[in-house]
Amino acid sequence: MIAQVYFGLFALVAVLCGATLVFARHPLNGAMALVGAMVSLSGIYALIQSPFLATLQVLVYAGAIMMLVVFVIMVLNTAKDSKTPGIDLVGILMSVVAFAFGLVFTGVLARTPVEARADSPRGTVQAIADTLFPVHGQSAWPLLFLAVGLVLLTAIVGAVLLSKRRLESPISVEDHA
Amino acid sequence: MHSPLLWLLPVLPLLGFLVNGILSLSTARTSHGPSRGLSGFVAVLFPALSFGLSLWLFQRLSHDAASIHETNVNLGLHLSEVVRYVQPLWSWFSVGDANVGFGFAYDALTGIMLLFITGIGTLIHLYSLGYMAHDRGHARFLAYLSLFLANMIVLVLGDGPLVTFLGWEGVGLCSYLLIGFWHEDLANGAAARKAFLVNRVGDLGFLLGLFFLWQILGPTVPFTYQGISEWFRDPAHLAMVGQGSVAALLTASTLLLFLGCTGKSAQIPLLTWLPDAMAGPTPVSALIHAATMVTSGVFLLGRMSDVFVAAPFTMHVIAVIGAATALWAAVTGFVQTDIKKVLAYSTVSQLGYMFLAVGVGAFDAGLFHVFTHAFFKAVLFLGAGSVIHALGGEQDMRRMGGLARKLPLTFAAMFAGWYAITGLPGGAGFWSKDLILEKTWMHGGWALYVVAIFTAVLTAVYMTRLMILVFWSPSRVDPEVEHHVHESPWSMALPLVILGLGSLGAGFAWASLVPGVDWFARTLAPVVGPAQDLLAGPEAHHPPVALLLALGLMAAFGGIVLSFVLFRSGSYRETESGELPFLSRFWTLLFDHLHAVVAVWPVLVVSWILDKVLNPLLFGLVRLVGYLVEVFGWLFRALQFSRLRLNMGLSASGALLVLLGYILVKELLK
Amino acid sequence: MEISIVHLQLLAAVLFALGLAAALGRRNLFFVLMGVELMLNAANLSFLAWSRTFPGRSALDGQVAPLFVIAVAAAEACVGLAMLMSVFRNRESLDTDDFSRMKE
Repeated sequence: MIAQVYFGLFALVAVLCGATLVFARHPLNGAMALVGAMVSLSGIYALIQSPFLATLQVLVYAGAIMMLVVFVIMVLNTAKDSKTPGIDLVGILMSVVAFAFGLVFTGVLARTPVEARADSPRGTVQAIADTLFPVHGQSAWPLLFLAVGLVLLTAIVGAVLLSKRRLESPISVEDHA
Repeated sequence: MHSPLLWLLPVLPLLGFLVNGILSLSTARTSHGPSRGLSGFVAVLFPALSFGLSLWLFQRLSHDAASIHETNVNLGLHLSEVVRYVQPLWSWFSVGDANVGFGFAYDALTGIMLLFITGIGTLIHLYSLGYMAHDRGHARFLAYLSLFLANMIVLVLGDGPLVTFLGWEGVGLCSYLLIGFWHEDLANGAAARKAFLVNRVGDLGFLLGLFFLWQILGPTVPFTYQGISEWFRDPAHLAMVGQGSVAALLTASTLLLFLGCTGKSAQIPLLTWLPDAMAGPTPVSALIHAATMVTSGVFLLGRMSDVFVAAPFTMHVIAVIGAATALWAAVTGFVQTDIKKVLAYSTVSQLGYMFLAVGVGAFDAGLFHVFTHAFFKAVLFLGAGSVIHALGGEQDMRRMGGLARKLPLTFAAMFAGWYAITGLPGGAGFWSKDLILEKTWMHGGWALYVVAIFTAVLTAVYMTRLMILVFWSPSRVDPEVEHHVHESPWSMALPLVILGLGSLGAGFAWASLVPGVDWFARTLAPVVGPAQDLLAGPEAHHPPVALLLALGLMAAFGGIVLSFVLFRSGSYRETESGELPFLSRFWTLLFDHLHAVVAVWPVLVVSWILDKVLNPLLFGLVRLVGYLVEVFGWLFRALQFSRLRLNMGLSASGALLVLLGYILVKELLK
Repeated sequence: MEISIVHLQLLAAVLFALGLAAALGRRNLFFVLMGVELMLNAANLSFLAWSRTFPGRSALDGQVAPLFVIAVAAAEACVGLAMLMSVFRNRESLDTDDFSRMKE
């Protein structure tokens, strides 16, 4: 029972934070709202037997990634979204699309009979490590793990190249000057 | 026997390399460059430590060998046991069921090689202090030299062919770096690249040879020299590799390994790089391109003697190639005007002698010549360096002469080297060359002997010519330069003196005419003895020693007299432009022309075809793709909104529609 | 008492829709990026929720997938923010409606 109360609380916070993200004027407010949503999602993860993911959610997502976003927002200090209207015609149209998406999902879900199983294992570090790096038997996960490592490496190189002050190639055109 | 100290041998010069490398890098932007005293001290200290260590190890080895020999004699056994110190360090790599370890092994052959590598290496480090004193990059130079020494030690100390290969590549790299040391001159860079590329061909042969050998041995035999030797010494295995496809495989393997040796040791067909390598500073020529690195081919053959004797065809090839190279290079040395070029071709020629000896099955004689040659060729090069230093960089012998009085010490040292290389009685070359001639007579047949003795005559001729042109003839030195001629500093003089004495005395390590003076042969016997006995069989007849000795001496004296007759005046026919006459030039560049026909032209033809035919085709394809993209882009652009959000939103709506459609279809079909 | 899977999925759907609304509706690039992050989070939640309906080891696949989503999200944020900075430096604007050179 207490779990459901917590779930309700976390869900409420998450949805409120999500709504704040949609309506916030300043990106910093949006980012803070997103952090809130992520932390409450982390709580929900912990409630549904995924302690490892809950930890990672706080460490990597809310911690590292959002820190980066906030940092960049602060670096580009002029980013206050005052020139553009928060909601315009296209925005409303898009919100309708998003709402329709949610509606369809909800509709499908409402008609799907699903039941949590009691014998589903907990997502502990041990269990996830055993799945990710199986000592016995074959699995695609280790290969994917390597691939993700490559993706991250590429991202680092790409980010360094992109954020250099000026690319030394004739393609980069300074057209604002 | 296990020895925990072997790893120090290569690591000490490596430390020298690191210190000097850091010194060189950290002071690269200062105006003075690194402190000469500090870098010089470091550069001499570490090789000297390595030399001390190898002296100590060798002394211990001799002691152990003697005590084991004594035990065997007491037990009535006639075994020549190999005393070997090993130090397996770590597992290098394992592929499938093949495990290759990284380790060092020290036996008599390695010991002797190490003695003169580290000894002469130390002396040449010392010499370089004086020679490179005025060069801005002397710390870098000393660093490279130390790195070379470390790699050379790895080469001879490796416990298996793969570790040797590591050192083999390492010395190739250092050779490249040092030939191109004065890289502001593009010609030096070209010479360095040439050395590197020609060596690559040989290295490929080395690697392929190792693969073939692996194929023969299989993964169960440990791929170390010990394992390979023991496998090949087993009569059952010898019978197996003597026939059928295994014999062909072994012949291919040994021929490929020998190709590697011809690359490193500048034999036909891969010899063109060594004369060009003289572009490097003279200490480099002395250490790398005369005394140590170029002899690693002979060392490898000695190391794998048990493998090579199992392939008689390869042995014939080695002997013939060695003799041919010796003759060709001696003739070439005869027409050169550059003092270092003469010595370079002389080195090629002497290396030919070594391979001839190995080819006729006299591994110990070949290695003995490696040993003596290291001394007298090093002193000749260092002496030449001293002359060049004194003349302010002049290398052309036509503008030398009369230097005997001006540079007495250099002259004395070079005289010792000359005395040794021409084979005058008592010099180092006398003993080793005589031994090779004798073995050639016994096992190689008269044709090889004639070539060898003719080469000996030529050697005496061109070396005497060098001495006449540089020291004995009237001076042709530019008066402006002559004014500044000076004897070298002590750091250059000391190595000259030591090596000069060495080139007079080193031959007594194995004075075959004097009974009992065969220290060298006795020490090496456990390593290469079994292979030699296998090839030679029981000695049926004794060679006519007196006749051969007389012939050898006649060759030396005849050559010297001939040379005095020809070049007494110090002037000789030359074209005015300073170029060599056409015939000499053609002969000198014979193998360069051959390389051009065999390797360079095909590459040029193929690249021309690629450039003129394939390139436009590919470019057309690329342009076509680009054009198609442009056309389609133009078409699809008409479908886009300029508002990003609208585009994205419509995509999302599309996805939604697909989802809805899927659900609907599923519902309807239910 | 377990939390019902349907509730979890509903929450995921709602968050996904909110993220989509932020990503599509807002004109500021920061909000677009953060909307995408929120959508990824919703997908993660959905993964975890579904994994509760499987028995034994196969459930753990659902626990591992979010791990990769997080890793890719990190890469995406890294590159996305770098692009954002470079765009801002060149155009002095973060408004998506300003970026229409491909069409012109």
